[in-house]
Amino acid sequence: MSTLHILNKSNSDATTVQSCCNAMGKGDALLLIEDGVYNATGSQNSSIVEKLASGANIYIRVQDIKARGLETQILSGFTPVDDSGWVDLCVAHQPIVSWY
Amino acid sequence: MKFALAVYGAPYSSQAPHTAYNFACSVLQAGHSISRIFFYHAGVLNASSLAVTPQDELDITEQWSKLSRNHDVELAVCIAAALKRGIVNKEEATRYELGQFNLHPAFELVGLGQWVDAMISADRVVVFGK
Repeated sequence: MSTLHILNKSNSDATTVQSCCNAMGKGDALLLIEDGVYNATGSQNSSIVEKLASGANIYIRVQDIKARGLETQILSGFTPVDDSGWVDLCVAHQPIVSWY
Repeated sequence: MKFALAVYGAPYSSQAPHTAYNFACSVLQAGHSISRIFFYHAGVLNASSLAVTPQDELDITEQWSKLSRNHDVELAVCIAAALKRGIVNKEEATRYELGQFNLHPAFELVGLGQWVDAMISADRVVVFGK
């Protein structure tokens, strides 16, 4: 079973974002929550976008996108999930690693 | 499937308590169980019974308490992290000769071993960092 990584920091905390990216193995999934959703906008020069381009499965928490008014700024290729989708991701992956 | 959750963030300084609470509700709605929620680091402040929440905001301590009561979820607070942040129960207040105690009755002060035990026995472990 592959790992689910959960990232809650924007690229203003670039060390945490980079550590998360470095730890991601082939086939791992990544969920962006809280300020982590900023990594899915075009405004930040984040390595998360490179990860997406390399074929990684990256999910974004809809509630956090709405709370920050980023609906129109999310780059294509990221998969939106609600909390019930998050639970499903947890069931489908093991272990679950949080980066914060 | 059995989940164990850890909350490391405090109310008002971190989004972690709200994210964790919403996630916990979704876990239970999906028919899974949560054996224990462990409050660690500044997350112990979720357990204060003396915080007065403004009327138009979510009283997170009360929400945790309801969740625990309705779904038999254990709310465990790290005793070492709690004592140094001024979260104490009656026994600890007596032990350290403090004039007051403030741990919400829905929560319990426990050792770190309880978190290890929760991680070993759960199918899934999710940490909500600050």
